[in-house]
Amino acid sequence: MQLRQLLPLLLAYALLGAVGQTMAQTPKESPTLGLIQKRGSIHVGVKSDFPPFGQLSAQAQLEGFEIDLAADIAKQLGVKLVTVNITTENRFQKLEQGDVDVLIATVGDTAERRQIATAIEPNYYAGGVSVFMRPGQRIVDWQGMRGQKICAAQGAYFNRPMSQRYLLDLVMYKGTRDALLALKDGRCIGFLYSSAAVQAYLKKPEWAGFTAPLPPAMVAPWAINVSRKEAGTELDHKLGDMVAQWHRTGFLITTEQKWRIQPSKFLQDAKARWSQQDDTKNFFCQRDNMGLWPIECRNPTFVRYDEVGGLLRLGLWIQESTGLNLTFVYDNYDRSVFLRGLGYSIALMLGSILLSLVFGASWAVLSESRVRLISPALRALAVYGRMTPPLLQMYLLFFGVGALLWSSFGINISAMAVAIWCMSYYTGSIIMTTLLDSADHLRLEQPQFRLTFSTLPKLVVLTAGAVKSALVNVAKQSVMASAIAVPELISATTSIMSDHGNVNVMMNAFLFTFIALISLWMWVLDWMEKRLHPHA
Amino acid sequence: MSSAEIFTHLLTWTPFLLEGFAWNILIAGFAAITGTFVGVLLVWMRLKGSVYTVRTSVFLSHTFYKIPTIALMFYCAVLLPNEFELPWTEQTILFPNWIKAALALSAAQVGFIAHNLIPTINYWSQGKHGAALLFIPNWVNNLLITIIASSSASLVGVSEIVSRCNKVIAATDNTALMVPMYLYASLFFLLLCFPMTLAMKKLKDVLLRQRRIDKNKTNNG
Repeated sequence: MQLRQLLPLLLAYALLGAVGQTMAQTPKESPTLGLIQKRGSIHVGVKSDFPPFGQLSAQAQLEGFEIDLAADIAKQLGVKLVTVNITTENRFQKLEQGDVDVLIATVGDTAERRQIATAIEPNYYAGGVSVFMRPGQRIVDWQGMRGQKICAAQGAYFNRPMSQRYLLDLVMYKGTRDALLALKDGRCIGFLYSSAAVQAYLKKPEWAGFTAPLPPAMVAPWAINVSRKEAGTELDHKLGDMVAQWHRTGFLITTEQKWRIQPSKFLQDAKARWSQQDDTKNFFCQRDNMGLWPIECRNPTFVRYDEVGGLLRLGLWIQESTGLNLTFVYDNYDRSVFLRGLGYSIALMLGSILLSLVFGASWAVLSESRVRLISPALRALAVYGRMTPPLLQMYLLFFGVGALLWSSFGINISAMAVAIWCMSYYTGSIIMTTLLDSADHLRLEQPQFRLTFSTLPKLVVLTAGAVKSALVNVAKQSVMASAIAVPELISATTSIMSDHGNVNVMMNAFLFTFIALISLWMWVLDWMEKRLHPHA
Repeated sequence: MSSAEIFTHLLTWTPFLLEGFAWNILIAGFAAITGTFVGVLLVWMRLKGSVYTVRTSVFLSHTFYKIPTIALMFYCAVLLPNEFELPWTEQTILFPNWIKAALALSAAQVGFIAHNLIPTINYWSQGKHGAALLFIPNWVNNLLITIIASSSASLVGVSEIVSRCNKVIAATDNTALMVPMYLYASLFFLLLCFPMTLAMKKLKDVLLRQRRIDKNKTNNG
């Protein structure tokens, strides 16, 4: 590009920048803040029935995690704190009517709620769904929950998505009380419920020994809310700055500890993000000219497509106009997870196709070598190999033999190698049998025929079809490796959809990608067959 | 743990495992029957239908041949509902994961039928009954493969033999039991499949001999 052509562009750019600069203004005046300062007190709506976030003390005083936050806000504004006990049903009504100035009441940050109130960014906590588990369970991750009997209360919004994402066997009860009774009676191993409420159960003596070992799933951030008329005002900004400061100083984490709430990953991550500084000691998460936090510091659910660029913009635009959430395309992290899964799947397929061929051919040749004992031993090995499930072999080798090797020699075997080995053992046994059968067949006409590496090509025409379909099959089976935690395509898919809930999109993307991979291998194998035997 | 102890352990859990193995056979049987039915339908479309039905049939046969069954199993388990209501009635029908797994497995069976039935029909109409009857041992061998593949239903939470092994190992907290347990479970598959395979090989030999006799007859006649 010539400089002359470039100049107008640069000029326009500079002009835009200047406009941006002049638009950087102090936030709008806040009527509520004026009122708070005039009355000398701030009215904060909190809960009394949600320990340890909001509860009544022995002296019938409101106390808890959220009341501590309210007190800090009042202190920073230099006014008196008045806590108002609200309920889940009336909290937004009280806010709209002006009975409370601020709402800190376990409010999950959702798009619908942003229509009727102003959510303060950043979020101050995140709740999720976890499992309140009977004593003595050894399950440590969600993967281990597949097919387990779990009690649940009817009507909870998370029942369906959770049973979908983690394949839980949910046993429905009328309400929380019934579900808890069933849990106590041992009719299920755990109770699926909001992770914040589970915190409260953990503290009660009647539930001694019960645990909540799983990290919360379907994590949804909570927001402090002010009236919808307060969007972008000084109050909105002041509260946002306070929450940001809470993240930076670790105030939220110490308050969490004070109320003996299980440490949440959300607060750890938020502290790291909000305290991140550049070379000039400026915080990375700083308000821009418009008073907005950078995209990376905001709740990604509420970033609109016109606020970002590139792939992210396209992805969000598709989501906003069609509802399809293609996170694995536009989100950097999800894309890398998905691509890594794809890479692992390709490696699994390639590895097991090659090793199956090596096993099949060499065992067939060896068992025709007329060395004593080798032939019957190999044949027996192949019978066992092709008549037992490769999945069982994987468990046997990875957990059984792996544990032995680790305890006796300190050797850790790789899950990937175990998966390739077991799938190739199964497929190699099938290929070996096919080769030996066709060698027998050939001997009907050429009694002198003996299978060696040099006579192997003679069998290509006879066996190509069967060998090819065995190899395609081993590629199809690679999904099995997810059982021993190889991060291949289905593992990647499951992990993305449990973060975002885009189950339909992810499963379809998975199946489509997988079938494309299988077609690719079919094409490669056909090509190889033609190379080996051009006249066939 | 002494081998006697291990032995009594395995014996204790045998009924539990056997019940699981029955699920494997049920799933595979369900898959084989559904798959055969759909496969025969596709072949029938191909032989009797108009140009369009033939094209549809060929396309579907190829698709079924390409479908990765375990991947489809995950797909069905996640996306198909767990129960559905019959239209115009209040009746809800449960749609448990084992049926979803069986449906996914039946896809491979459809592919098998679509590929093997047409040559069989041709042989039969040419009077080569021995060659046509080879379809039977092939079908049984395919059923055995399906039984082995049914173990992957454990990945979507079906309580068949492999997942029951995992359950026993986890519940008894006994790592010494791990290797014997998995080996023992693999024995179930071996004891079912090995005799069946031998029998089918025998049947195949008989049929092939028959075919050679048929061939000689036509050559001499």
